[in-house]
Amino acid sequence: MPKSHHQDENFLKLENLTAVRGYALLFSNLNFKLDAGRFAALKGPNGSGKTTLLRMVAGFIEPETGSMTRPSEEKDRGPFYLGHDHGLRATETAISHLRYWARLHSVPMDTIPDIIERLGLKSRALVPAHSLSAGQKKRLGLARALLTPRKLWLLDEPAAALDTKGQALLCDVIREHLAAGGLCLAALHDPLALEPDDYLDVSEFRQ
Amino acid sequence: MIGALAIFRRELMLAWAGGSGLFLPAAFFAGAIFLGPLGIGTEPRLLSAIAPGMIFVALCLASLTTLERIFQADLEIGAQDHQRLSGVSMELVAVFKVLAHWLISGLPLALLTPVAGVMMRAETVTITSILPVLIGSLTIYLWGGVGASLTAGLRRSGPLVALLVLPFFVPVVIFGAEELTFSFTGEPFGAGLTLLAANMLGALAISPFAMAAALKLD
Repeated sequence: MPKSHHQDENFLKLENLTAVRGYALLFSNLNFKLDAGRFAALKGPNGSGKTTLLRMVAGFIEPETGSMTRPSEEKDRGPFYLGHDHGLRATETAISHLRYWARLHSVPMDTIPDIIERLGLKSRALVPAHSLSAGQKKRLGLARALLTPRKLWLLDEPAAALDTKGQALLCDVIREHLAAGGLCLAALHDPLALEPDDYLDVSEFRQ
Repeated sequence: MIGALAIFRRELMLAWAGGSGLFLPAAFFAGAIFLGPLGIGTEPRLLSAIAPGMIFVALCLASLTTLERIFQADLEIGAQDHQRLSGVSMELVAVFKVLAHWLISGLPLALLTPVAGVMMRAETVTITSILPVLIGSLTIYLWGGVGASLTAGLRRSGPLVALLVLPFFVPVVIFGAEELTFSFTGEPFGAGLTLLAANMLGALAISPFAMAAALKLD
């Protein structure tokens, strides 16, 4: 796990990061800095290492070289990570999943009904996950983000499977997060209605 | 700690809702014990002599039917990523997942022991006959959890888990079967029960760290 050297960091700084997957060098000496309240889009063709970089920043993968400084989160939590997998067991319902999430992070549960309403999941709140569509599962992922405050959001293709309304909702949610001083790093293929402040093209760091 | 209890609670709820073969180990255990007298014959002295050994062998094999799923279920759907970022220590996460799993699949096996004893013509079957199997099953699930955590990322890892963890089951079978023999013949428990409990406490102390380290390998 990468450690912050100072107590109240409020930025993300990646220094000389190198990633190797199998025998392939994905990127090397990657440098990037993201300040509070800013939104960066991660670019690059398929297989260029966007997901690897996001998982590295989350702390799941140790970098071969380099170091990183992450914004300090409350209670030793890591950043918020929204990946391709939805984290839902087949028989889990939206409401039971969010209650579990609130307990896991020791946050109050009273906002759950409002969050479910806002994300348009009210009629699907008691349906087991195997009957939810990919877009609805993605919306549930956003609900998790709203339930626990975190400074850094790492989103892997957050708009995938979302309809027009869902994409607008995603932009709103990110906008609010940035306004509250949060940071967001998202791998994006198609542009969102929200213009990123920074771009990071992973393929530029390939040798 | 509260976060780890959330995981414990979720495991129990999801197991109750189905999907993880709630009664599979218990059915396997009961089936194995039921087949014993059919194959061996109904000679009471023979049956009661092999009953403790058979019960422990059936316990080990029954635990292997679902052991590999302890960590795999959350790893494949990405829920383990969430747990790693939640700020709850992975040692607690791992041990509570094992405890939930034991409560669902291990505890029923221990509770079936008196029934198995009667089926195997044991001389005396009392409520304390459960004790060696209770302690033994918890030890088996804790060491089994280490094997499950090491192979969580692999497909069809069941046979590999079995090979990895069977050596750890050896002391449990030796001391457990010995103590169960005492119980079935109406004698008081011996020093084996203490060793069995020591093994369980050792597993409780060591296995969380081994499981957490294995689960953090990406």
